Amino acid sequence: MAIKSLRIMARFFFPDRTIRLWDGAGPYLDADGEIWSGAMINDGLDQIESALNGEAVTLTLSISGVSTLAADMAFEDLEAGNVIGSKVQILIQPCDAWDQPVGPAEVKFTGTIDNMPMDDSVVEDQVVSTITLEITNRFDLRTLVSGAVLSDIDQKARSEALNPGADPDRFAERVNKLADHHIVWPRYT
Amino acid sequence: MDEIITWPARTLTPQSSPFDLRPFSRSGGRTLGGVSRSVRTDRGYWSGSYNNIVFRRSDFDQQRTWNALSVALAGMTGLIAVPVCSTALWAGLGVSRFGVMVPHGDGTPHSDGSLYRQNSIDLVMSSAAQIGQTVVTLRLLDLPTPTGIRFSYRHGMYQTGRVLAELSGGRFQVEVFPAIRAPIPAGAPLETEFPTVLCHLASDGEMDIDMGLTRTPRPSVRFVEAVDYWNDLALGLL
Repeated sequence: MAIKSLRIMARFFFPDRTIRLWDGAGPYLDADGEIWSGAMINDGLDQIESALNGEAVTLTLSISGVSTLAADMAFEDLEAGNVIGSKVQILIQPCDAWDQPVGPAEVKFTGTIDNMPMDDSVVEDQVVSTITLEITNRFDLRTLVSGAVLSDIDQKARSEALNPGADPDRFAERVNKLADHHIVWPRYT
Repeated sequence: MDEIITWPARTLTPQSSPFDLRPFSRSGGRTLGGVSRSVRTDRGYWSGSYNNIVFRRSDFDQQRTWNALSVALAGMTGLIAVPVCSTALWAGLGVSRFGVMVPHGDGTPHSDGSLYRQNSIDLVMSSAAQIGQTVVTLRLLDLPTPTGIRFSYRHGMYQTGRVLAELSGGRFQVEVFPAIRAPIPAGAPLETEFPTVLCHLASDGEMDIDMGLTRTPRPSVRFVEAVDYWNDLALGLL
């Protein structure tokens, strides 16, 4: 059956409960009988979409329109220190012409929550409250602006994720050998 | 469940009440060839307005009703069921009288002589509809086809598209917009003439009104479907 539409979905495994959101309006009942509630994922989708064929490294996901109860639960968990380290998945559900799911949802990103800042901002005469989730996964160290770490194991794992079935990427094989080298600025005096 | 107020459309009557579908698509933008390919990510929600609500100088109740409504709604969080007049959709199918007045089962009226009002169109959900369904089976008696009509069930308004299959016994398989918000049991009678859609005000200032010296303003109010209510209802938070 032809795929006519997509649902972008996010699943948060908090210690007390699992929160399921999707990028649309109303509720959505999946094949397993779980309710996904519509929420506005208003930032961070570009990172997912640009990585549709691969795997995003880090993700900053900003959501609004979450029910107050869910937000309260999330906040309580954050206070209790349970949120950080919780698993997050971003999924894509292909749908047919009637917007009914075709096959299982595909997991596009899996990571753990690193931080969860909450923000109130004023846009014109409206106050917008959002929850931002900073999510990392095992390849996070590669993207640090200062102190990015490349390792052979990571590079091979990542090439396996990006290009399954191909030979592993040997680009970083010699990184280990450079680990203990001191590189000093030459003295010209 | 909270008490949901219904817009008093008889007292505060709009000159027009457009309610439109608002589907969601994503696109990568236009290519050099001028083609833009998009993917739908959501069936959508209702967005509409009551335009030019008529205030009459002789009717003193209207302003008080309006004030009471604005207090009850209290901005964008307030829930209101907005009736959307859909009798014109049925007129083309040959229905000429809307709202049949019927007495009690033994033929007696109410104590003040008034009767019950009953829909003159018999539209029933034939098989149970689940959340998220976009194809449902309706049963329509005495009328040719339920294409392009609107109905509501518990303040969730739906609009039908094409008839996909005509089954026996006046049953029709039709596509609907939006996706079913809350389960509709089989055999549930559907509101057809004045379907209601559960809405929020589009902004906090929608109920602003300037009565003026003549007291005949023509305010317009914009509404957005209250999908958060359906989400909470589905999760059992209400």
